[in-house]
Amino acid sequence: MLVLTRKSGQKLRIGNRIVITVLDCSSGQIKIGVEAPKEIPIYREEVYSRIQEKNRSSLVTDTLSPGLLSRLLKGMK
Amino acid sequence: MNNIPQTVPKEPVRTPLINTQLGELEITNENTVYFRYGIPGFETLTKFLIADFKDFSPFKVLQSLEDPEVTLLILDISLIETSFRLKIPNTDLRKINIVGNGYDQNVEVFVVLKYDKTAKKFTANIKAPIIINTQEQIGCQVILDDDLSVHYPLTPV
Repeated sequence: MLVLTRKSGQKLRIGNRIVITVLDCSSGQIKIGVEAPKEIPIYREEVYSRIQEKNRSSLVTDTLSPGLLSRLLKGMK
Repeated sequence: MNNIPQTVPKEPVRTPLINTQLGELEITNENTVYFRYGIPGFETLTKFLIADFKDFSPFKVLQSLEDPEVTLLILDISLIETSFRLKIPNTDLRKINIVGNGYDQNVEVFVVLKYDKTAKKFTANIKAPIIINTQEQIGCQVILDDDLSVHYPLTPV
């Protein structure tokens, strides 16, 4: 992990098109501004990692039997 | 000289196959999808295929073409009973090159299903649907801001 220290108002550039600005860092919270191309999604990490974990635990393995799927299908009709 | 044209029997066209957890799936030009940022948990995988899961229509399979172990079961969200109507924000649609308001006929929305062995039920991740631009064959898994479930229950099996 790259660790840098910034003061209020200072910025970081990631790659060539993402700029992070430290807006306010008082009262135990830090306000961060992010400028990035619209197509780049920005997530709170705790939200993103929840989806990571969900995807990883959803992988189809050989325990998924055709029997289970046909029962799900029946139940949905 | 007899110039009888001879018909040469055509070789059956062989489409490439990939071996997956659900058997062999055919890779065609029509079913490959490009995920520019991968999907959460598999950020480096960008080439996928969406295949019909034969005999189990309407379920489909999202299969990584780069890692045979990455196989996900997906379902068109319109087939799931919900009391609400899911709205994909325009900023998310732009990630798959869809510009404009509301739904586009070239957009398909799927949810990833998970089988919970202990609870013996299937759940759907409606918080993070997979959106596909079927015309350009690009996809993205978006995380919606709304208070939605990552394990929305489907009927118990």
